[in-house]
Amino acid sequence: MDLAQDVERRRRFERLVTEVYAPVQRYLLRRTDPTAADDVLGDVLLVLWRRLDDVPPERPLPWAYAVARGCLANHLRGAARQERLVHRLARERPGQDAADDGPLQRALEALPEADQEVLRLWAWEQLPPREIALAMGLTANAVSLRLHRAKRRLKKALTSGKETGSAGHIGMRDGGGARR
Amino acid sequence: MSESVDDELRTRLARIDPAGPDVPVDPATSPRAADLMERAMQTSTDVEPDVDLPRSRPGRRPAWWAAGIAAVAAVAAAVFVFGGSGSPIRNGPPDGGGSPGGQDATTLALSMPATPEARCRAFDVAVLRTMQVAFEGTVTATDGEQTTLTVDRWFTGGDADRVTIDVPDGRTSESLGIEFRPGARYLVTATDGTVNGCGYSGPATAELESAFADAFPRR
Repeated sequence: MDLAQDVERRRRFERLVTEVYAPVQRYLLRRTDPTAADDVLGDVLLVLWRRLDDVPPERPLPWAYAVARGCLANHLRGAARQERLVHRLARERPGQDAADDGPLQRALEALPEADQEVLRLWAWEQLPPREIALAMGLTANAVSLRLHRAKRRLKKALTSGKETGSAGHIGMRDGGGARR
Repeated sequence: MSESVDDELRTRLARIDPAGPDVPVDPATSPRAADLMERAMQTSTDVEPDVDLPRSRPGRRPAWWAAGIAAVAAVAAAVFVFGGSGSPIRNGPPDGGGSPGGQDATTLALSMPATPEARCRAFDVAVLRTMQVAFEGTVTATDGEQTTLTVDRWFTGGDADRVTIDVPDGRTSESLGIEFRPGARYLVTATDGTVNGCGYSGPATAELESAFADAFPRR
């Protein structure tokens, strides 16, 4: 690689990092503790540098999420620990009224892990199905189906929780569209 | 689920986001970001990262990709030659299993595609009608490598009692568009021994049942 190519590559990388640095941190902080997130962030940047030519220019962020997902999986060495962390982190969010969100948290945790992840990417990372597909290594069709099913399951869990009268405030907030 | 219910659900989920917009993160302009970038750029780009990554862009497919396609093509060819004419492969019962009554069951071997469909055209019953293989079956076993279905009904392309669907190495059936669950019924089509995605195979919903009934009317 000559000097001009090297400079151009470095600039592309810097532009990419500027775009994904903060969102990838949030992605990691949603799924692991701050120390691990910090460690994995460096790994993510390393992989992005090495695979810079593979990053789709039109959708760099979901691709970066997919890299973060892979790096995090390596770091955590086991979905069980990752799952526990996500649950704990969500419960421990600063300033959150845990009791108020307890039913939703429990309903979310009761879903299969892939359903939870698709919902997180949809609600927290705010990705459309096509980008969730890229971030999870699935097809857009599979994501649409899974997202639809996950929402339905979550809604059902919230509604049935309300019907059985468990755990206080259950069901959709603010008017309760799920209680039609 | 209506859009308003979706919006409410998303809003409520956002409230339990452990790293929402109100949680501070290190900005890309920070000295730490500059340090991490510099460290990354000091490393060689010749080393393949040991991470499960999304598919490469065209022209950057790793060698295993080509090998996987070749392997599936070989399986597909074998099925087409030996089983694709409507005469399923006759096998004994699978290991650890047995067919009802102790008789040999016929098994048709199919594969999932090597890669997810990059782009799907709109579902069309006229296309469904052209599929070489179409059946309705119930999943009796599934693991990471193979799913087995007992056939409840053949629409076209065979009369086997059972169908196995192999998943290429490094993939899951879900990542290729279909999640097989034990005990659930599916409508499946295949061409040249490879299962078709893009809505042409999937759980036996009323909608898909109706499409199959339209495409393959009972004679």
